[in-house]
Amino acid sequence: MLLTLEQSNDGLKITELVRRSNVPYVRLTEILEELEKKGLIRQINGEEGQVYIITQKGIKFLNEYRKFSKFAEGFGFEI
Amino acid sequence: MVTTVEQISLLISIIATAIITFTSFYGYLKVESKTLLREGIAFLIIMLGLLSDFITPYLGFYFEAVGFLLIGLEHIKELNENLAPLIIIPYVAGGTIAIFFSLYAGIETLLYYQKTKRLTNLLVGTGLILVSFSIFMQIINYFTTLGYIVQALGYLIMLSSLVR
Repeated sequence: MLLTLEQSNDGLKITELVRRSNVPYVRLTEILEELEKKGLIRQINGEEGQVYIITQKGIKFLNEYRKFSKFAEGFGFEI
Repeated sequence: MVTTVEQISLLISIIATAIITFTSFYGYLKVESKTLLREGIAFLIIMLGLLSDFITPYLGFYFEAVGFLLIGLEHIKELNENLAPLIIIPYVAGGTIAIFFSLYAGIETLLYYQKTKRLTNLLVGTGLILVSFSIFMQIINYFTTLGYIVQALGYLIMLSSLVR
């Protein structure tokens, strides 16, 4: 989810996130709420209404995730 | 501990495992990955085992066994979630003993070859090590066909020593 949002500069509507992630709407809402609570994403008023964007904290988290993912892969694990 | 070389080598191992342990726990705190937490616990146990070697030689093997079991289980989890921990399956336990003794016999035979320089010792030793390796491949159910091929090759090499 964070990766998808990172690639979008203007943010994405929830309908677009459902389409791209292939996650059911209800489940996606739960995930987005959790990510928002952690401060990794936030909602803003875009040109096409409410959109989700990744925060600086989210970008930092993704970078850490990539770093540790590579570390775990070295041992044959997926994190 | 007998020599300084052994102590230095052990110290290097401890430092290396400490760094892996720290990185795993730090990664867990940063990205909340339970895989990293389990990896950290496994390497912490291994590191404790290495540390215990300074106090009681060979005690560390027990810690290392637990640590590597945790790492093995993590791999099993990723390969097939329905697979039970290998070590509790009777045929695996039997296979593990077979691996140990075939490997041991192989190494002993190769050491004997160093003294005798007889080709038969080299062939039997190599055959035994191949058989040991083939049992391992069969146990993990990953390269089963290759495991049987290696096993046949191992016994053929042993047999060739008789043919000579």
